[in-house]
Parts: sequence; C-alpha cells; structure tokens
Amino acid sequence: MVDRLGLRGSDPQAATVGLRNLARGMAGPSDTIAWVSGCAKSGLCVDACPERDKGLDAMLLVRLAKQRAINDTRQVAVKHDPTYFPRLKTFARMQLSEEELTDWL
Amino acid sequence: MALSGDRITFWFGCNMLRHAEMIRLCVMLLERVGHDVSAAGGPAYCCGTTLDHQPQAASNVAARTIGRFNEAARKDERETVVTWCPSCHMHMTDIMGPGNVAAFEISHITELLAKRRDRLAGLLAHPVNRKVLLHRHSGFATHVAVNARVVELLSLVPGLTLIEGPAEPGHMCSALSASPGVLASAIEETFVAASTSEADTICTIFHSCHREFVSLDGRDGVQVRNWVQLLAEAMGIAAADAYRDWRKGGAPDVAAIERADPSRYQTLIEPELRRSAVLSSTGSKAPQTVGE
Repeated sequence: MVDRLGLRGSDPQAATVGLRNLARGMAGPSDTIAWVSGCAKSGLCVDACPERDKGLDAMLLVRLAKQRAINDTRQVAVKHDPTYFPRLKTFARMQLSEEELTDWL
Repeated sequence: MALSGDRITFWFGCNMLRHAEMIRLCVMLLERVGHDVSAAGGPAYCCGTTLDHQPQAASNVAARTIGRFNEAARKDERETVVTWCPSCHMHMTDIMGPGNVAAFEISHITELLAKRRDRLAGLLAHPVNRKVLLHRHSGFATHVAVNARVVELLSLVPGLTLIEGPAEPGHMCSALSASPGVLASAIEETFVAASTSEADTICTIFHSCHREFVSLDGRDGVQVRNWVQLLAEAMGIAAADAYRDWRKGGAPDVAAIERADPSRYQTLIEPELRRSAVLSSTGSKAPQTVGE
C-alpha cells in the first residue's frame, strides 16, 4: 500500500506529526492526507507504532484523523452514496420472506 | 474474548442483505451447534461506519443500535452479539462500545463456531472434494484472528484440501477500492495463486470479497464459494447463491422484482448486477459500490 499511495521514501516523522495534528483538528501535510485517505484497515500500523506499549492504537488514531480530515479540515473528500441504504433495502425485499423482513430488519 | 450463553443476537450488518442465503446459513450453523439465534441487521441496526461525514448522525445510529442490543440482552437474555462484518465488529469495539453503555459481549461468528468445533465436526459428514485456496486479508487480525479461525473450521471438512492464499491488504476487499488498482491487483493475485496451486475453488471469508469474486466464478475453471457455503456443503446442503447467479448474467425471478418494485430494481439493483468484474489488466475497472 505504501507504494500504491506514493508514500515510499516519505519522512515518517513528518507524516506521524501530521497525523497527531490532524487528529486534533489541524490541517495535515499531503503525505498524512494520502495515508489516512488510503487507509484500508490492514492494522499493520498497530504493531509498527513505537508508542503501542504506551497504549496508543495507531489504527484508531488514523481513523479519527480521517474523520477530522473529512469534517474539520476538509482535506479528504466525502464519499457518500445516497442510494446506499435504498439499494440494500431493495436487495432485502427481493430475497427475504415477509417473516424475515419483520424479524431481522 | 470470553464467550457466554447460548442465546445470541446474530448481527449480520448491512451489506449481507445482498446475500440472504448466506445469512440463513449462518443462522443455521449457529443453531446447529446449539445457539438460540435472533438475527438482526440492515439500516435499523447500522453501526455508523459509513457515516464518517456526519459524526452526529453516526453517533445517533450507533446509540440506537446499542440500545436495541441492550434491550435484547435485558429482555431476552441475549447477552452476546455475534458479528459477521469486520467493519461492524471493529466499529463496535473501537467506537460504539466505548461511547455507550453496552450490556453485552461481542464476538465474531468464526470464534463461536470454532469454540464448538467438536459439535460442528459431527455435522460435517459429506466429503467436499475440493482443493480450496483461502482468500485472506491481513486486516481485522487486530481484533479477531479470523483467518486462523476459518482455517480451523474448514479443516474439519472431510475431503477438502486447503491452501492459504496471499494475505491481501485491508480487512476486506471493499477497503481497497479507495486506492486505484489495488482491488484489481488483489483479485488478480488471488486467481494467480489459485492457478499456481491448482486449486479448483477460491473461498471468500467476507461478503465484500464475495461480492467482487463471484462475478469471476468459473474463470480458469475456478469456482468461488464462501466458507459458510463450504460448511453447508459438508452438511449435505446445496448452498444456493442468487447474487452470484445474478452477477453472472442470470435474471432475478419476476416475483422478486415485483416484491422490490420494478422501478427500484432498475435504478438501484440492475446497474450493480450488470457492471463489469474488477480485473487488473484485461477487464474494466468499474466504480466500486460505496460501503463495507
């Protein structure tokens, strides 16, 4: 993923400082934005984080930073599909019995 | 995580609504190993993970879902919520649970079934003569050792030869769609691994992977099955897969379209069913559905 995101050779110190700043609601540098935007929740950052033993969950920090980048600093574009739930409800109506629709949903 | 009680809520998430047969198989498997199952999912039980752009709405739906599970725990003694979806599971563990008072434990379906592997093994009487490549992701291991649990479960199936495929990034295929080309590469790498190892079946673990792979079912002579379908096969149950059939060009029956409303089918469902498979070089790279 590092290569896919164009982050090979990035300065890890700058990217992680940016991550902390972003999680506080401050604008992050481009490498940090690329990181949080492309995060696929592999969880590899959890073990790689040198602060793990102090209780830091790096994947959760990335998640929070991404939310800040979407809602506060506006550095990550919103991905919202208004047809998402209507589509799922339609799939449900196509396949579930009346009893399942009533009991499960 | 500690497992308790036989009465459980099976929280199948949202996107499993594409795969009704798989929900039913999960319920059946859980029941056959001794659980009393109440299934719940869909928008009314949203975890909020798709609402990152609306934090207050995400918080509200999370609280509503927790409240429903709390009520099931209090009134119906369902003190364990069993997940299918890794996004729901992680969101519950990391965001929803810490932000609300939860009166239940959370566990993944693979953990529950593995816990009762002896009972399950007794049900798997029919040989499944397949050479199966397991499509894996490296993610979610932070919360549940799901790859190991599925290997443990499939190793109970008589006749089945299991090969562990490459560990792709992310927690499931939908997580890869944000980065151009990554999902296509993961799918291609998995098919190459299946070919190299002479596997006749690719086994998916999660719904979003299944959703992508089934449109390529039969490519290079390789079938695509989910792990619950393989367990069902070992129980002598032929597992139907309507979504797979539809993605491969089959049409839903008219009654199903009528139930859903033909106009909704045409605008919401048909475009997804008719989009091209995700291929790395030879095929199109159609836009992915948003969501987990």
